[in-house]
Amino acid sequence: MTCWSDLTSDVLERITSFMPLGDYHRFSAVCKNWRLVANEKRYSPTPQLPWLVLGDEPGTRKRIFYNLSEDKHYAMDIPELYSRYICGSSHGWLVAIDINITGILINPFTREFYELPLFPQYDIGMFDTTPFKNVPTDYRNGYRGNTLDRLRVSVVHKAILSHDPKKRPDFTVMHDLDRFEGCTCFLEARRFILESIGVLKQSYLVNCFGYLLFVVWWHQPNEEGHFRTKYFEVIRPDFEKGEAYGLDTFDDHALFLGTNDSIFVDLSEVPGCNGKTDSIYFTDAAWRSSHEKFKFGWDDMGIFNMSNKTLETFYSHEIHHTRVGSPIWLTPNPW
Amino acid sequence: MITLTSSDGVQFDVREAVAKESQIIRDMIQDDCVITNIPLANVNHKILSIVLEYCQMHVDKTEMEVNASKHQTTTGEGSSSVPVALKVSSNKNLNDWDKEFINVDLDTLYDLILAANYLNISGLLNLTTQAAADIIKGKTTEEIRATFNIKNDFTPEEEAAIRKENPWAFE
Repeated sequence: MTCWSDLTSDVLERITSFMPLGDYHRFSAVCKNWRLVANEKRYSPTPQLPWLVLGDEPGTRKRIFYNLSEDKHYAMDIPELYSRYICGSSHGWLVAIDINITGILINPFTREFYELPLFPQYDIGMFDTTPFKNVPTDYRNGYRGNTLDRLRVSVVHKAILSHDPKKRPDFTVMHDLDRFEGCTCFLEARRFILESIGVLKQSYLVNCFGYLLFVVWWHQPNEEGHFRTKYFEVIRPDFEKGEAYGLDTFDDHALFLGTNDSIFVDLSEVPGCNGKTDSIYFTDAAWRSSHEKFKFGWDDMGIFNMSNKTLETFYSHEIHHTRVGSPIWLTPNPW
Repeated sequence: MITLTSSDGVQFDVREAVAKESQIIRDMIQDDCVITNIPLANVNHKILSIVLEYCQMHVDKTEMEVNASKHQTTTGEGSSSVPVALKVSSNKNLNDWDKEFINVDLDTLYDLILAANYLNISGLLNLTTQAAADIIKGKTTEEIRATFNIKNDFTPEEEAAIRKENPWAFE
């Protein structure tokens, strides 16, 4: 007589180790014995492709999450994200700011959150110095009349975290403020100037399992003046020799690029993975310069194949434009 | 050769290498090198024969790879790419074989999990528990209960409280 509910905890724990997050929660609600095992959280859920955080559900304020592995949407009611737009995603945490530019860090799966130090004062000071002197004056006169739209377009472009704040309380949040003359960043004691020519060319510095890559993202406007991804160039610098060479394949890996911290995934380590190897999964990065109807970052998402340089789509569902955020990748970090 | 006796008294003669896929048998043989007959009180003959089929296949494949790499070292340089290719294809074949092997009914899967756990055969334990996880995949809690014939032992209030913790997973 089989009695699945009474399997020993070590066997049940092993079963949970092969489950993605949604299955894990549903498993934990089956019966008391399974719940006891699931609550131990001995194993993290099995690795999955990153999720895509989308906008609000039409008619509610729930945030939509899209699980690429399952091709499934989940709606989560997270009041902390009401009227906040998401400008960053690192280590499973989202950086979200509201119209007063008060920021929070939130882990949507555990609902833990931290309030970030205010940065309007810091900003206003910064705006009187280069490279912010070109900022239109209405931004310098405080933030009255700010709207989410204006914030999204004009102030914080991208925020990333140095560490998982739960693991290291001395984490740092780096905000990439409006990029007028390229972006300076520091990584591993080196200083990099990431050159960006408007939206035509954007540069990303990516950590690929311990070595650095420069990823150059080229856009071109279509006949409607809407900027679309054209292709990517990936360059691997050799700092010892002072040389750099182009990279034409990621092999079994996929890079998830956008407003998030850049995520490299070894797809051979993702069980039952339907992801495309040797590719860049990108979410719209040029929407700020697009026409009003494209302003929400939905239109230019896709997969770039590194070897044959082709573009294809990964999202085939109906698109709801929303003001609270553009699609952004998130790696679930549930406990 | 080693004789394994199932809980219902059926004897299986297997090579030592095959029996030693089980950590528990490996320990027994190491502790007492003259042991030749091992009774397995928790595994019936039907399940034991399936378990041994798995062990046999995995030992054979490993030995094939070892032979292939020996072949490489004796033939010297110049043929180094052959064994690598062989290894890759044999891993792929073994994965395909595993996938086919584990395509069993739920009662058998349950017994295989218990046997793999009791005999401590880590490859088989991973394969069987992953198969169970795959069956759970994408199912609602009610569907999981129905599939595995599990009685809901929560009160409605308890269940509602559990669902409320992560409502998104239950929509």
